[in-house]
Amino acid sequence: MKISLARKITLALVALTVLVSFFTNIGSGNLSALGWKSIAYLCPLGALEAFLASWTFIPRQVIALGVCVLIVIVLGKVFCAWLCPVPPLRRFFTLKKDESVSDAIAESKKALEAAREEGVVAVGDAAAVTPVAAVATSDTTESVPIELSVPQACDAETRDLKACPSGCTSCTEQRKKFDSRHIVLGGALLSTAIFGFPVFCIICPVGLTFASLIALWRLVGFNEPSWALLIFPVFLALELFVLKKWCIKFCPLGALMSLMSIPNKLFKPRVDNAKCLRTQGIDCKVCVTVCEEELDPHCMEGMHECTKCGLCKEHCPSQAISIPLYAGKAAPVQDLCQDAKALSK
Amino acid sequence: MNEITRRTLIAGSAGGAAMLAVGGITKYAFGETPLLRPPGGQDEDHFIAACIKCDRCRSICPLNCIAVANMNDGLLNARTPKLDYRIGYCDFCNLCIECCPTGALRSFDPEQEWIAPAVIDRDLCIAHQPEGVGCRRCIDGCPFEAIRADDFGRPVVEVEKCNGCGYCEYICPSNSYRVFTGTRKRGITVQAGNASRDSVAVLGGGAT
Ligand code: SF4
Ligand code: SF4
Ligand code: SF4
Ligand code: SF4
Ligand code: SF4
Repeated sequence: MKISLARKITLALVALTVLVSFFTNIGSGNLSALGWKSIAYLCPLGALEAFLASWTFIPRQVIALGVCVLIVIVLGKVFCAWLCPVPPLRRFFTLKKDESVSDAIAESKKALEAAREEGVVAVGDAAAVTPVAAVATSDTTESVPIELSVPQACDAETRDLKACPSGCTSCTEQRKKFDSRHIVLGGALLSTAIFGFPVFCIICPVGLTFASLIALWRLVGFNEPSWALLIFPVFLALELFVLKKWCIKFCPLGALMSLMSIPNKLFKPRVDNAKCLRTQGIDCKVCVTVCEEELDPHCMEGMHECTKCGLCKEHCPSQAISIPLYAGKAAPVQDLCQDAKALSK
Repeated sequence: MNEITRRTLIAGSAGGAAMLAVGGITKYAFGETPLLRPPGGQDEDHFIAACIKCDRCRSICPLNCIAVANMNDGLLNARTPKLDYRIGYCDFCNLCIECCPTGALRSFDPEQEWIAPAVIDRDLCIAHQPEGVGCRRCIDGCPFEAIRADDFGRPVVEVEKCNGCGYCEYICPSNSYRVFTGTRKRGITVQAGNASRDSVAVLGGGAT
């Protein structure tokens, strides 16, 4: 099954559970706490906020938080791509289609054609973009050594692809371990401790999504009109469309999970060096463009932010990316990058 | 490679400051109107500190007496659970307390504690009207025998026995008979607020 389909199904199941909880007495709850009887997933940020505001930590809360940390360590920030309603909402309500991905794919194709004409790249299958280096009969678990003929390190200033034998622009685009989200997280926790209630919950886009639904339901089902019906969706829209990069710039929940995901080792995307177009000197940027977390799977730095959405794997024009259970220590291309740096010194 | 750029710092600080602003404004500009909380949520400070608005208590209540507060109840209260005894009453089944993930609802002893006292509104109570329709619904219905009849057969709440289960409000027929009052309020209501038992005794027992 395609990962994107599996993600859609998961989201639909969660949405269904929440709706069932609206209309029946099963008490499963929403994404702030979702579960059965006293066993529930508990939003880790909510749990922390409740603790800071009330200075009480009941055992159930501690266990739920511990389980959450464990899950994030094992699976990474899966919440963001598999459960959170924010990215799908944003996609749904974005009227103008984002063409950067199809552009990037088209560009890669063009570059590949050009390279073939120049004879730089071995002419493989004539049909559009095909795994060029597949002629090198690659094994996904083994990287194929590449001759480092141009021993210059990639240069942040020139970012000249040709200059780097690994053909990788990722070293300038790496995400930092700490960024603005973490400051927002700090602010949210501080504010919670000062004012004595879970402050972020008030404006959490996940909460606001359900709040808008509840307001609508109370209006229709109970004839309870409320400002909520106007205010919550407006807040939500603000976060999604005015703060366009909510997820990677502001979201404190993402920030908290990114801290928990630092030790994550499993299900990391892995690039097969022999298949990747970059090793052919083609400035392919498909995987970087498609990644909503602005990651480059060639680069191990910052990869704990990966949400396992599988988009890079699905879009790579030469099927160079896999998401294995355990990918090993470092992506092969980055090895090259390091080597190139070392050589240029 | 790990230093934070200036732009990141600005965005982050703006976001962090916004969090502080949201906290302060919500707390002081959109302050609380007292609401009737599910059992175990009577310590309002603790409740508002711990409730993460997960909606589980509202959903699980088998008698449907838990509703959800909205913006009309203040931004701070929006989405928190509140009791609506016109739709259901509480039989202290404990389910909401058991499923509350953060302990916002704490254990509750209906024999010792109260949610809030029931109060009779003499303008709305049918038995208190001059025409004197002899309604005894709440007197007979109260599961805790907290309502007695006065010399005229009108209900009087014995506050020390009432724990605010809401059954009287739930079954009170005043509103269905006396539609002309233009209110959804009933003849007997359990009211939120920090009324002490004494002050309530005056209100509810004032009929004698
Ligand atoms: S891994 Fe695929 S998408 Fe990424 S640069 Fe290489 S060829 Fe392009
Ligand atoms: S690296 Fe790939 S799987 Fe991970 S978040 Fe980016 S696109 Fe999704
Ligand atoms: S104790 Fe039971 S009946 Fe009472 S509010 Fe909670 S769930 Fe409803
Ligand atoms: S179950 Fe607890 S945390 Fe959830 S809405 Fe009810 S009181 Fe709040
Ligand atoms: S709320 Fe009404 S029914 Fe419940 S104990 Fe008090 S007087 Fe009795």
